[in-house]
Amino acid sequence: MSKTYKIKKVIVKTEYKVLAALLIILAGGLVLLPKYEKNSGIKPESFLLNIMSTERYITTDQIADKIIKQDPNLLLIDVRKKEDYDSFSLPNAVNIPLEDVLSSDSEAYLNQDEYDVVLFSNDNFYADQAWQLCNRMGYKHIYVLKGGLNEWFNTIINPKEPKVTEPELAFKQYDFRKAAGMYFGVGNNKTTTTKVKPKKVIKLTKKKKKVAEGGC
Amino acid sequence: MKELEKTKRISFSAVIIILAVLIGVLSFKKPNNIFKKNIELTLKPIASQNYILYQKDIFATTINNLAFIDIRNAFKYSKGHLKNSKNIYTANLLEKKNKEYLKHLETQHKTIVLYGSEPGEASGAWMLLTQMGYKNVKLLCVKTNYINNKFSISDYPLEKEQYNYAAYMKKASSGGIKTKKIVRKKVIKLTKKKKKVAEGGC
Repeated sequence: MSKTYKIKKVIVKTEYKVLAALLIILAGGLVLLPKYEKNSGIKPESFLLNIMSTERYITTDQIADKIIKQDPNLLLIDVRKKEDYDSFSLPNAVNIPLEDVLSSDSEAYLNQDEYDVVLFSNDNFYADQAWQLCNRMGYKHIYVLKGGLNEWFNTIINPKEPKVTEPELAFKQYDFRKAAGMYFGVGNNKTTTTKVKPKKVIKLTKKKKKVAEGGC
Repeated sequence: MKELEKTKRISFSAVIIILAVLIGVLSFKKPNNIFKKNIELTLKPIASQNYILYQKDIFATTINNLAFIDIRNAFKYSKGHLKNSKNIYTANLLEKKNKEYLKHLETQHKTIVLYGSEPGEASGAWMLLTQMGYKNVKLLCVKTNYINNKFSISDYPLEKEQYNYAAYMKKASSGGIKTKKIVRKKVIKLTKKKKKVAEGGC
């Protein structure tokens, strides 16, 4: 063996050692790195944008129209407690109390692409919270009934009659609400009609000018 | 010589690996905001409702321990707000200075009390902060009023039934609820009389 070969062998051996040491240091460094914190569901920035948006709200008129037209894509979910749901709820609504929104049984209703899910409660506070939890999980096609059942009763079951001075659109909306109310079981047999008495028209007759009597 | 070439290849690949790892570590960007709290944990306070603070609770607690955050926009805040409250509009909650302020409140062991025009407005902000890991965040269940240039708060009936739904429907379906039928006023059209052609004079 020549002398130069020996020297080269020594250099190769040291190179191996240096590289091995570097790789060990790097591996150690990777172990010491802080744990990567990963968001489950959507990012906080996206969540903030979604909670600021009012696109999730759906009106009682829109829901009434969808129920009457028997929209096959509509799925109503009542997030109130079971006893409240048993007492009264919207037609064909499913009960998922707010506490059970993230249960595995509820996921089948909420995490899907076939239905437009509309959440509702007495007001829209609990329904909003249920929506926020679903949104955080990344569920899509979830909406909230604006005003909840209180608004449903104020607009569909017991609509407020528009004032005479209100535009034609308000009367059309009122007619729709009355008809929808009847569809949802409001009886209209004993309606009382209050007729507005027509104002008496006083005819003004012009007095004929008398021919000026002859003077002197 | 063959061994030397082999060594060169090994060292070359090792250097590339080291470089790749180093670039990966250096270019790794930690997300600014993360949800620290597991979503299931968020359900606990929702179920127990202990995050809601009522108007009467404000007077019952030591006011110094409460830090009010008005999440309405700057215009509404400027018209009137609770005393010693700070305005952080919901959309600006994730700004650095606001996060630092909230952290500062947390280190001082203060209860962060969020309020808006009504509880529903502040609900989203509460959910965001709670899931981001802020402790002791509460929601003030009040309605803000601005009457005669004076700001005030009043109790908000949270999720209260305005009707006894079942009883009301029973009554309504039996025709027990009287409804008024509007008889619209007849519109009398006014027609302008044509001016008669002036009859001939003398």
